[in-house]
Amino acid sequence: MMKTRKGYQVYPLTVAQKFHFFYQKACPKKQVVNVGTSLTIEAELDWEVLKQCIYKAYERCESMQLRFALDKDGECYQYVADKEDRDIEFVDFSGKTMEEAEQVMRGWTEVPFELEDSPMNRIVMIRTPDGYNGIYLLVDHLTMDAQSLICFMKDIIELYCNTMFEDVPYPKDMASYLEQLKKDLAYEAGCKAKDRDIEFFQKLIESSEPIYNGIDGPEKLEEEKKKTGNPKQRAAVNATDCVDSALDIFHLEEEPTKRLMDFCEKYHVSLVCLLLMGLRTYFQKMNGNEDVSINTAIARRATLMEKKSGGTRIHSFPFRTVMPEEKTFLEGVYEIRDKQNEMFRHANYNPVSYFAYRGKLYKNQNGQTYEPMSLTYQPLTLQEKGLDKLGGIKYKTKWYPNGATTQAMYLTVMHRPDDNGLDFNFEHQVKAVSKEQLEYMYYYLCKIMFKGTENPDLSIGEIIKLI
Amino acid sequence: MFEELVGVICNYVEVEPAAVKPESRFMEDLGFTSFDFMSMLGELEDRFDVEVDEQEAAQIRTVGEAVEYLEKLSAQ
Repeated sequence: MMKTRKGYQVYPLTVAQKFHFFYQKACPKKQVVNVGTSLTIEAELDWEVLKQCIYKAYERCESMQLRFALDKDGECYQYVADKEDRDIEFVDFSGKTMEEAEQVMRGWTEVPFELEDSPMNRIVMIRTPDGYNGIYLLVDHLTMDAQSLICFMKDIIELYCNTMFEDVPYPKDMASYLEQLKKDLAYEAGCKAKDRDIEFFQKLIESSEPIYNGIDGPEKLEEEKKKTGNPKQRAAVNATDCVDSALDIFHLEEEPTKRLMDFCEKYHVSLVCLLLMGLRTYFQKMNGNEDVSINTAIARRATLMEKKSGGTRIHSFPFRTVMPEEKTFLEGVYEIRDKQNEMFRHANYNPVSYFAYRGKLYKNQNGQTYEPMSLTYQPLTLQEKGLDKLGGIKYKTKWYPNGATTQAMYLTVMHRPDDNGLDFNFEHQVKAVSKEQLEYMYYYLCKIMFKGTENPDLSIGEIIKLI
Repeated sequence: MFEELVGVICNYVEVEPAAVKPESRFMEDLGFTSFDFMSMLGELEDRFDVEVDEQEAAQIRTVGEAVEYLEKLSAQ
């Protein structure tokens, strides 16, 4: 067992990190855990000041200084290295088209990091062809998730604004990654809360076997029944062995987005409840099953320490709902809210244990699942703090696909900063799901959500008939 | 109870203790997400030695309502 590396104390990976570590190991394309994004603003920047602010932000964020090491048995450990001064590159895309610039950044996103003893991030200052200026940031998912990445970017902005503008206060310190890591590892080592979480999820899994719902209908499950010779088969293989991926983005405009957000405010539910209700009703419509399961990601950042300590914390669990067609849309949304609240309280449970326990109980074969897709809702934007200090300056954020995914279909819904609309980002295996299938699903998802929010007392069955 | 709850709230969202009033709404005024709120309930259960019902808790909108609910549970 490793205790130190290069003089630094090492720590085991958390459950959330192990999830990424193992699927990277199993995936032929090692960039599968890369997360690439850019933030640009419509203003001139002082590049030297920006560079110093990036160094400062890097120094303030322990998880940006994370390194990894393997012991002789292949076990992975982590440590926080001292701050090191790396040169921050500057790339000027002036004279190129936006497509060409984005293609270059997509290329950067497809380069995997060296795992052992090397930095797990790359920052480039960029000027884009549309005259915007800013940064491109690439991180390995073992060190950061979307929320910590946004938090890091906000810190750079606040540091920059503090340097450039007199009335902008210096940002508060980030929280210690190592302190939070020790808390997480203490939970994983065993405690009453962990026992309660295990009990909750095992009971949930044992309640009954879920059923797979396909994006186009029950054909895939029927094929699986034939293949296994089991007419009662309920799980199906959803992903393919080809991990090549594409990212298709659908934009919902500001006005319809506002209508959805108004509904959420009025009925005191989060947007993710509405999205889950829309998606599960779509699968119910296509498959004729009232039993629908979808994977959902839980960011697990509640305390300020969790929110500001960086790192990767997401746990994903199947979210199953069984709703008869007589249930009203609003009752369904409330049921989702209540179930989700219950799950939130046990979200520290190990998702790998979840799938292992369920797979064993229902004798699933390799690759068989009940969930046709995963959903993440990203409520954080850079709009809340930081950029407002620049006074109404327009800005753009963009996420770049890494070209690989082990999941058939992964939907991330996030707020679009330039017009307060929503982006529906579908990352999918190109051999598992086509853009046309996604367009069809997105079209009906929106129809369901708008019909339901306009008439929340309509039943699920009535909505399915009306759309 | 109110002061103690304010102390807990300030571990979850960036807000000055003096800005937290009984009429402050968790989501709209203090910036809580549902996950923040449910996680905080776990901490409150341990701190006040009570057992919270998720569905009842989902009806709580303001800090004052939370105090009232906790006081009711503590008295049981």
